Amino acid sequence: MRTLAPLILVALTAQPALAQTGRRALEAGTERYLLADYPGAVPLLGMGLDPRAGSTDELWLHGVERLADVLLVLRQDSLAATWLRWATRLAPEFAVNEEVMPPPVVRAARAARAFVDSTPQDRFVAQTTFQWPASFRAGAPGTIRLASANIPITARIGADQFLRGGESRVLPPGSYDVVVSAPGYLPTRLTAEVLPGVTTVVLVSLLPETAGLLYVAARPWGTLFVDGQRIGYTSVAAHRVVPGSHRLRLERDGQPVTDTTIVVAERQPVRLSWVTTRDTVGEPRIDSAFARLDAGEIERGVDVLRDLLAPHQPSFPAAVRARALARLAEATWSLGAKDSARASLRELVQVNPFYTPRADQFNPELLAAYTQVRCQTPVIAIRAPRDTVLTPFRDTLPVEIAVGQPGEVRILLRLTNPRRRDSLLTTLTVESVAIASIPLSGPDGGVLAPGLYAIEGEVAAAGRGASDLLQLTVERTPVDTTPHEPSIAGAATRPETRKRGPSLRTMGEGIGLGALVILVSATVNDGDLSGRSIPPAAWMVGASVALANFAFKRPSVPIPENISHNELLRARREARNRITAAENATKLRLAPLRIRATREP
Amino acid sequence: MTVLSGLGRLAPTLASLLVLTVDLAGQSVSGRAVIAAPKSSVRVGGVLDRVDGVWGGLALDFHVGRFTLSGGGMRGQLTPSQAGTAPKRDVGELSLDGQYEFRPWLHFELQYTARAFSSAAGYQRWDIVGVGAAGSRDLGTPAVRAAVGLTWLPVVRVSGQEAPTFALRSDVGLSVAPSRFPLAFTLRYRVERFRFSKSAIRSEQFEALALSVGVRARRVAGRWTLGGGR
Repeated sequence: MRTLAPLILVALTAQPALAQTGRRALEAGTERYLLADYPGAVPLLGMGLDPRAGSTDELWLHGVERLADVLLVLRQDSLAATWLRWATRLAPEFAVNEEVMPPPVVRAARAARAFVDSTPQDRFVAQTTFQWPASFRAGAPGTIRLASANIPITARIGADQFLRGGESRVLPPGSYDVVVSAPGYLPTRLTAEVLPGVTTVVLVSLLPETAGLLYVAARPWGTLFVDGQRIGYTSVAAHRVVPGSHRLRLERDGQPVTDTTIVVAERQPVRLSWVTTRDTVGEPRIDSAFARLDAGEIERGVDVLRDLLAPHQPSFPAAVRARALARLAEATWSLGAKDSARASLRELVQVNPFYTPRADQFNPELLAAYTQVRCQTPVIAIRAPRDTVLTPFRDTLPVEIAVGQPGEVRILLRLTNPRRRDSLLTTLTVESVAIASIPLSGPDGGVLAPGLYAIEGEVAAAGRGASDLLQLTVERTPVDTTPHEPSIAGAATRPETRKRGPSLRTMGEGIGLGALVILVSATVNDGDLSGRSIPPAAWMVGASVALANFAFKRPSVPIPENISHNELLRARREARNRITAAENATKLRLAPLRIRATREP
Repeated sequence: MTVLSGLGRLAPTLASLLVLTVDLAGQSVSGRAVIAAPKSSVRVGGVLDRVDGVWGGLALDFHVGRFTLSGGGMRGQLTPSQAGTAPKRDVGELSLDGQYEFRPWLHFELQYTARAFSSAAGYQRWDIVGVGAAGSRDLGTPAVRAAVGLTWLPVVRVSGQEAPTFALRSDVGLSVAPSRFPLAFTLRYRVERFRFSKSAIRSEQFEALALSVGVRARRVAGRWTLGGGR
């Protein structure tokens, strides 16, 4: 025995990985993954993902994304996609960490989510379970088995494979379309993933062809039970129930349990509504669609809403459109069209990033989907009070920011004068919604001048960013400024000069000019004809010229005391006006600003 | 002749449009209302005939740089100073005057005047062309200015009678044009003396004391503003 002990030890250490199962294998696979031993990590991670070995906790979720990463590195894209689809179908909350995982894994996970959303299954009719092998081989084929039932059921797998109840088929790993049917029963369709070495067991409990349909609308949302079986969150749409009497229970947070009994006839649709308050947006056509949804007419309501929100229809205001999209997402989610619901949620985020669903509106599943879609949608919206009055230095302008994909947001003030440029106002990291306080004054003490401005918000999210513009009209509110003193009235001032009597020279000049005027006229004048040697008109003009010269050419003499008196008056007035100007400048600087915000067209 | 007369009537309008629409340095336009007391004295042989009266009219001045173009028209009635010596007559005058400012105080001018007398005795027209110079000077302030001018009238045509052998015109005046006031006032006295050949035994003199009130608009930086200053 002692001689065999080293051999046993060597044998145990020679197969370190494949001997481990469950969580230990997952941990060991993670170690290999972190050591970049990718071929060694695949079987360990594959073995460790057995859902029966534990819950789909964080370690399990990391295991899936690491396995996908490894397979993508090893160029086994199809296998990676199969694992991701399987995990997404098994754990609806599964999502890769986009901050950590490489972009190919993120893209593959999103594709898997879209695939799973587009291939729903009725979990009350068909279920899949998985039997893990004792040892895991990455390249091994998988097996699909149709569990036997008490009726003769047949399954078509893919295009050309047929199974009867209790039979198995070995298939290459991948996703397979499975249709199970039986005479006299409603067929059911599901998509099942076949994993390497794993047996996928399909269990069905077909409903008779005479089954009725149950629709339940509730607001606030609740959890619906039929005959004690949990059906899910409301709204519930097109849930098949066998004809007969059924006990229904609706449980809602903070509200008494609602119990009721219904009798379903063959192929009868039964619609129940527990809507406490009517949902309206003031748009008659949309309100009518909402009323249909609230009455349990889910399919009809969805059709009407889709038609109203189609691109060719006249556009509704953003707030109305957002609420309509939210209701459409909720209804399509209840119909099981999760990819369509996610598309509506994505559009909702794009139309109004500020949209916050009411607590009574989105059930936890839909809320999780909304949160996930929002985080994946690169969009930003900014808004400010539509019309507000703020005081510089004391107040700041609150600018609300909403982003879809979280990231660093830069708020820029676009200036056009004196030259086109952007001024960075603030930078902040926004997860969902944040408020930036924009000061109305600069570091140099200057106040935002009245005018037209544009504020741009940019989010630098992973992948492509987004931006939004807000137009601001800034006006200074009227301020009671003190008027400047007018110029000193003539009556208040004293004359600064006085005219002296004409000097001899002035008199000589005046007389000379007058005489010249008379002389010229007299020279041309014919005294015999006019009757005067000097015409009276010549005298008149000459005298006028002489007198004007006397009057206007008198020298002025300054009056010093009057000049100093007037200068004193002027100096006092200027001093008072300087004080008034300074006071007015302060008043204007502190004057409240009226700011109106409008969206840029 | 008809075409020429039509062009003559159109000329002031075209000139106004040209001056008003073309933007030139130092442009100004002034319009004046004139009232005058004319007096015409004629001695034929030994008989002296004097008529006087009142006439009124309008004048326009276009000033561009150193050039000034003036045109005006007057109309009125002359009556004999002594009753019964001569018939009443209507008188009208059209004048065109081009001036060049050689110095701020001296300018030369070329004038054309057409004057017509019409009475029960007949119609007589005078066509006068003159060349002259005028000096001016402000009287203590640029707003008040005195002017003295002499014009030789080398071409004088008189319908129905012999043309004078020598003619001279004197023109003196005083103008007041306050710079802050859009109106300008002018007092002028002119004397025209015509000497005929000895064989005609005739001499004539025409004089007029005129008072005018005008408004002046000048173009500053492309815009027209009113101002009475020079």
